[in-house]
Amino acid sequence: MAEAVVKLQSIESARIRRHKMLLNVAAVVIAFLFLFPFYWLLINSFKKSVIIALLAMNISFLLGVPAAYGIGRFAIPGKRILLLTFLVTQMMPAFLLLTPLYLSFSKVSLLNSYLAPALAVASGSIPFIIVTLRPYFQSVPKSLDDAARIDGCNAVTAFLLIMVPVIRTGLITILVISFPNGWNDLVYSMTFNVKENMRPLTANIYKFMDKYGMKWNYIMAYGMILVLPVTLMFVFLQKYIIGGLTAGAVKEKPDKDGPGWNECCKLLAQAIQRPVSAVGREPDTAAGISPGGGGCRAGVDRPAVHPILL
Amino acid sequence: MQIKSLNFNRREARTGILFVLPALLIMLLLIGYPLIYNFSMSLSNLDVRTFKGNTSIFIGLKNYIDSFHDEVFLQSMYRTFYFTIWCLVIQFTFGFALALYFNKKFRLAGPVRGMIVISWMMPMSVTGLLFNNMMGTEDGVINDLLMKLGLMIQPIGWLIDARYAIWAVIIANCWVGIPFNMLLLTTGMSNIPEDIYESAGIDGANSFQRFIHLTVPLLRPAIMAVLMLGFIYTFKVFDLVYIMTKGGPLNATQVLSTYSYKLSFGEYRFGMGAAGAVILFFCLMLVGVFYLRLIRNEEVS
Repeated sequence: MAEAVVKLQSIESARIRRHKMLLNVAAVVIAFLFLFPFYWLLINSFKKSVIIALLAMNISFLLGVPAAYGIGRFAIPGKRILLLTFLVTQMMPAFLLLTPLYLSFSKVSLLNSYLAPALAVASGSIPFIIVTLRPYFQSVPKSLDDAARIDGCNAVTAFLLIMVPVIRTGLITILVISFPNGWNDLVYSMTFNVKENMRPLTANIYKFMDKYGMKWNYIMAYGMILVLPVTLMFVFLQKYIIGGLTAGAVKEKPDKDGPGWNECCKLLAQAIQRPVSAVGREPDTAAGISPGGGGCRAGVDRPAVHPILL
Repeated sequence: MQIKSLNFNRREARTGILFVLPALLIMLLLIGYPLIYNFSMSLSNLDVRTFKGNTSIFIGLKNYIDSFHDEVFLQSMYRTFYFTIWCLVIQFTFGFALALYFNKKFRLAGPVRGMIVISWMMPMSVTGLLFNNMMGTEDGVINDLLMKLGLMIQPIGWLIDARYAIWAVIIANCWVGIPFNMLLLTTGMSNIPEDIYESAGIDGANSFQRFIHLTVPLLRPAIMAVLMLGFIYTFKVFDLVYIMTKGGPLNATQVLSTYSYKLSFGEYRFGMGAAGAVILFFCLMLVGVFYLRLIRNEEVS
């Protein structure tokens, strides 16, 4: 008898539970239906923000890092002027480029694309990268470069396999500064991308500011999402950010965080020897005999070191 | 031997140039060309009609002359300087004070100093919106707080009263600028060797004397850098003003950048807008040249 009551009760409670679950599911569906436009807009412009920021960062890394190496390491005629020019462009107001770029982009029908704001943002990041990374390249001992050349690297492979890994501290610094450059951009995206569904978070936040008032709950939700990546970056990479902010302005010895001589040697040894033995040749015959091949050609088999991934 | 090393040098230079060339080309395309285009635009009567029909003509300095006869333009030029100088004074004073404070050795110094820099990292659009929310006339938290503390009787229309709107933007800008100033000055301070202070302390200098005769002279390069960078970043303010007030109410917060933007993309008078941008750039160039002269010896050596 008692057992039967218990059984009945458990059936009953199971039914109530099922019922409640159904109610919950329905509530979620209703919430989804009503919040979907907001969600869609959010996800959509989140995607745009990520694309624009990543695109701008890739462009500026691809062009800026080699240029910093070129200026930092080689004796180029007019180096002084070049460096001063890059310093000056850092000071230019974004607004100065806005109208000409808008008109030019409209002529080559680049308006309403990701490339337009990304290129404009990159034009600000490239000089920053050059000015910030140059001391890092300078702080790497010249003999490391020479050793790489003797062991059969050409200028490009020496740069990619030896120099770029060695200055990775500097790369993280410019990464944490140049990503927010694109992520925080408002004026370029707002001007070049007239279509609302092409706009990133920063520009779409306006949807909730209209003549009927401000929809603060939506604006704040947007704001949180905008702030989140920057805050996370800050929490995990704080020391690189502070290094990067101060690098251009206040003179600090870059080699403090830069690579030591021992680390340089180790990296050089890794880049040259490991792949060579993998190919199955004697390390020392591979080196001097075939310039441009040998260690460094085999070295390409190493997982490609992309600056973004460091 | 001579020739050989000359050849080597030339080859070195060529390799270096090849590394720099892609960046240089894209910069010429994205900055050099627009700069010239902008200048030539400022000398033409380019607007939305003449752009579509490709019929814009050279009108000399007319845009510049018109600008200097435009009441709103002159006002926004004055306001840009007003804004920049007040921001600099406030940011630098508070930034310096905070840098000195966090330079003392106590447990929370590092973490708190790091934390307040987040405000500098945040997108300007979010900063502007946050301050818009807090500075609301009826429901803003700042008015609410000031009234509860009994510091004022009537709510201030921070963003809608033409007298206060520029100060609302200045306050928001300083919230971002103070940590930036603090950070740069802190880095400068950390480069001053500790033992100088100790020996000064033994010689009987009090803390004020040490500040005036040791800290300030030793920090001179950092101070110059902070002031110049601050000037440049503040003078070209756009995002913050645009989001908080769009230059209003009644052009009361119009600065050079927002007014030029309005001319170009609100009224589609590209020529006039370009002239405004050139004037803005010219002001910055003057400061920039001054700054470069100061740092040239350090940077290029």
